[in-house]
Amino acid sequence: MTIVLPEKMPGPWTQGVPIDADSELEQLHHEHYVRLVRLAVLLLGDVGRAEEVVQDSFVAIYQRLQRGKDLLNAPAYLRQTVVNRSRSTLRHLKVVSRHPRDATLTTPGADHDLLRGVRRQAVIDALSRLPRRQREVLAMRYYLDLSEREIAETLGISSGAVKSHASRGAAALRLHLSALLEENS
Amino acid sequence: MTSAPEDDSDLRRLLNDAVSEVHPEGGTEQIRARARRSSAGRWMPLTVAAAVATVAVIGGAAWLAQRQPLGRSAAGSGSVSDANAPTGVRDSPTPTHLIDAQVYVLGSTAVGPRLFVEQKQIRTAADSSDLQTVVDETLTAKPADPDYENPFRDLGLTARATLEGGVVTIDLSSAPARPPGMNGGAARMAVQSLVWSADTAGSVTGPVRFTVAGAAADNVLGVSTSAPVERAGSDSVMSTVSITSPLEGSNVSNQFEVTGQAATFEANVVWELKQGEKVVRNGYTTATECCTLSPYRFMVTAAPGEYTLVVHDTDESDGEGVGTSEDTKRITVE
Repeated sequence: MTIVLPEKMPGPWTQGVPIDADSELEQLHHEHYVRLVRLAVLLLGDVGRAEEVVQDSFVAIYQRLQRGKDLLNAPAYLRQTVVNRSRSTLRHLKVVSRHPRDATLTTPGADHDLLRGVRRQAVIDALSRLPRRQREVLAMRYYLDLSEREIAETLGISSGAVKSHASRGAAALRLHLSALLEENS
Repeated sequence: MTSAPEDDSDLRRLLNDAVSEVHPEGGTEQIRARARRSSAGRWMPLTVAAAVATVAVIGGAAWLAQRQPLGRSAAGSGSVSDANAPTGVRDSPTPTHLIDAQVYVLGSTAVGPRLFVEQKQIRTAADSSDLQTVVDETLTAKPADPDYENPFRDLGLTARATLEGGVVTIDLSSAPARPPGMNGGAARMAVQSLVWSADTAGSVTGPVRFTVAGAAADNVLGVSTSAPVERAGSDSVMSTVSITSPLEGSNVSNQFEVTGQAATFEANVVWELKQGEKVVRNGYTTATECCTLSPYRFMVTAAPGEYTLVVHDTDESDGEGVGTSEDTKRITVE
């Protein structure tokens, strides 16, 4: 999946031209909402919190649009906001030592559904055990299919650092998920 | 494992599969409603303000830090009333309207749990009174600021709230026992959160009468309610430091005003703007009066980015370790 930049919409994204904030919101929501919530689930391990973070991010971009702010790359802005807010949420949770919530990724039904649920949870748990930067890099690389440069820009780090987090993170994730990977191979 | 280290298609597949069944809620209507609410809230006058994120766990704070493990949380950090609205709300024929409300919740401070107020716009049924709506919210809503706790939220209570002859009566569905781990101080603050919310919504200041299913209630959370409960003075129940504006999670311009209330030694108010543990800006100001809740305000200039704004008092205990009380807001400078 690649995030499509709104290149064909020079008007609304250019300062000085009236912005129809509502129709921009509709379009951004349609194109990015579900995918960003899923990204946030990979970062946070919790569907409810992921929804909160992504909704907060949409509220922020909508308020910017309403104020006629220049947004040359709204999807990149949204993505960065989601990653930053997910990080703040995790930091906050660490501070107050709250109990973990259920990730509610499982939908028990038939046995094979249950098994899939367990596998999904194992992946989320393995990600949550990685250092924060590695988790962010892997989620953006493998889930959003972003380039090293795009990941570097989102996180405000160098491409070299992205490369190093990616390779260490992938190695650690393989270790945590070795049973699942062997099962699938 | 057979795949070569450079071939990441297996990891890609696992990550994609892990979230493939996540079908989130939250449509654009909800986002628009929350945007209206947070921008309206920024300009609303407040009587007392809100929030604490102290790391210290003192007194009843241990109880405050406890959370029920929840499944899917209500979407959105705004009011639960809105979050609970079905995503297909525009198809609903039930007439609704928005009310401005002040909902009192608990947070931890250096001297134990204290009250904070959250300014909210709540969507409610058109035929529901403001008093009823605010009491419902106080009993069931998840606070918008994650540093707050609603002590009633997990008790499954409902209530009918009425105002007659200038006196509020809250008729609870059942008599709530004090949960394990909640001490007497926290329970008293919890009851006061209901009293303050109800009195404020009813525009009265008198005692609140509690009943259970129409009959007199001996106690609520172990706090005697055999006589109507007086609204305690703000200096004895409110946090000694709170930030009114900016709101939690809000976006501000690169020069922004911070307002709040403080009751501190020599009216001293100290602040820091942080990124992680790094202090980017700091300063101090004074509230308009010493030692009783009074307003403060100051300006901050900062580069665009995500910050935590911390406002706190000073520890005047000469090393006895009472600690400071603080209030924090996560904000984005644009």
